Amino acid sequence: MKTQLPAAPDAVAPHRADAMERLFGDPRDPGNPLGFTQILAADERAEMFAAGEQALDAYGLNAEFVPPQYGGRLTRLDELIEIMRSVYRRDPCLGLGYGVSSFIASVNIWTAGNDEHCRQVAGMLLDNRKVSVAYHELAHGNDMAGTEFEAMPGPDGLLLNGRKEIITNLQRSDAVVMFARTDARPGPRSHSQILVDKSRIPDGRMRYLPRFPSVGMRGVQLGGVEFDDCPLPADSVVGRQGLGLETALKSFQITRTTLVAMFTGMLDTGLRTTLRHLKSRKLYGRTAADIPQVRSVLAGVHADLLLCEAFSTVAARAIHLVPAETGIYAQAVKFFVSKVLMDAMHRLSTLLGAHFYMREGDNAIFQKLLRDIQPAGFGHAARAACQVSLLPQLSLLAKRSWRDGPAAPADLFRLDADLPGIPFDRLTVSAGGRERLSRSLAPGLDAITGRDHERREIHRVGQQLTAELALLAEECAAIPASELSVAASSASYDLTHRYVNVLVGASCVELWRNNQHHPDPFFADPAWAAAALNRLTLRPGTRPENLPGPLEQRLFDELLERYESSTSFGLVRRQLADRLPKEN
Amino acid sequence: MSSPIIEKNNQDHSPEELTGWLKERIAEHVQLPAAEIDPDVPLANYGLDSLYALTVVTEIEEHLGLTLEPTVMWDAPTLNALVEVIRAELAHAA
Repeated sequence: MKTQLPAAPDAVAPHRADAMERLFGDPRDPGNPLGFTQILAADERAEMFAAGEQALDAYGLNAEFVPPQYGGRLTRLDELIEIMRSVYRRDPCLGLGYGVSSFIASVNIWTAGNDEHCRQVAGMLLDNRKVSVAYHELAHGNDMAGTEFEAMPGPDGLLLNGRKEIITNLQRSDAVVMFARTDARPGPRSHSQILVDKSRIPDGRMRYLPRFPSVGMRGVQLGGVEFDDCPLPADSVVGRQGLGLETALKSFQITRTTLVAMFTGMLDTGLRTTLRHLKSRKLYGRTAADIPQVRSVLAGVHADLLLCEAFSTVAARAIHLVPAETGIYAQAVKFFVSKVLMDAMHRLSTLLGAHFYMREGDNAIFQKLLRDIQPAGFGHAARAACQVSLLPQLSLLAKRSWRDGPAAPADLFRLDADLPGIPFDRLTVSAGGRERLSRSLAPGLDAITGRDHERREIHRVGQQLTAELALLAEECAAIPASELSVAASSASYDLTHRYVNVLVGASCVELWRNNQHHPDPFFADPAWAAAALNRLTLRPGTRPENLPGPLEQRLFDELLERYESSTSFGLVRRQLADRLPKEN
Repeated sequence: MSSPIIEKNNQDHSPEELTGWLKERIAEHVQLPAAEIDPDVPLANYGLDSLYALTVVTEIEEHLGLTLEPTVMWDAPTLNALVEVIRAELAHAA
């Protein structure tokens, strides 16, 4: 189905994201019914933002989650991410509570459901209904194999018993995709996803638990549910019975990559709010934004944002282009981007001082976003769980990928290269130790000509990373099997940090190198790649360093220019609906 | 699935030799003496991590020069069941 939305004037930008911007208007206009004033009021009441939900109904956001063969617009994950950044930069409660909880649920269905399941879920979504997704049980956290909730098959279909807790939209959805034990034996073939259509539940067999109040994303309705011998038809099992863990590992590659990528919209607002405040504030006889230390932090955070978007852009493209490898990248993105974003927001809060603490006034959106960004670190897989998923693959990666082998195809990085549809049927449960992104760094560096300051910086950090990869290949090839599981020592967990750095570095270098003819000249400028690389913390547990002087100046100038032109700070520069305050 | 670092290993693999070799791999990961692993007990009972099982499969592939489904150990949850699948694959490949 073609979108009915008006085409964007700029062919470069994903046009549906621009339509979203126009729909929501200037978030700082106090008279805007879809602006921060109203968003914050809803947050104070711990309610979803009703006017925002109506606007998203009007836009038809759910269609962005549905593949075209079922009537939706889900063709490119990079476009979905951009559209959702426009939502997240205003109200993450809408992002999760209107949007992506249904997206996570539906990706399970597109990955493993039969045609009937797909049509059913598509029908609900296109009708502006919600589908929730229930994996979590308080007793088991990220340990999915420990799931106790059961849907035991019997002669008359399934019998549902047990509880799910802290589930978004449980009471607001028409259906729930539930992760359930379908076999009493331990092991990875004992679970299945169950599509629970609430209209098929007999009276008295299901009850909702009280709402779970939360620190951040306060408007999101987190609930629980308990089933008691609830019968359900056997055709509610999604895919073949027992394949639940496999389906989760596949479909989460899409959602772990894309969800945290959407969160960069929050850092954009955090940065914009901070800059706006500091430009208007006079301290010690000058504007706060002119204090060198303040500029260092702002320029560094801008580079952090670019770093996050560079890596998540490559990882999102990888799902389309090299799905056999995304089992690695998805964990890496979720692990890496979440931390950089949370740390960057924290750093901005130190610039705002008392103003980040205020729940009213011009900067009140900041404290909300600072709370709302925290689920990046634990929601839909904790950072440590991503490390645990990478750990068992380290020795294989060392043997099969890090020492030699081909680089990734250039289309992975070339933003003008077409993306094929999302290959739900080609996701694999394990990459088998094969990925090409890390091996792309060395040839990428070799191909750089010229020796200006920025290129020297790219070389300097890049060579540290290639040396790190060589070292990792030695260390990980010799690592004992006992160190490749959740029981590993913290030094082994650090190996994943060091490895992910190489993936991120390769993404920056190759994105820059392969987009020299991008319509936005900023892409061809080595400054962004050099700045982003400089922000990598090569040693786990350390803080990113301030940018070298010339890069800091370049990034700060870019930041100011984009602020003044109301364009987004991220890798893809888009026109935003924000209007500048009247300068004094 | 060919890779220059995978060496084809054409020697005959008896069920005993395969079981012994696999026992060592599993024992090292779950940190138990190999002798304590009963080939008829599901490996999950010993704490074999389902993600690590995916890695063991690639080790088996390298050891035997075979290509296996990454989830073969999920579907053949005991050592004896696994050895049976591997032997069928070896016979098929021969």
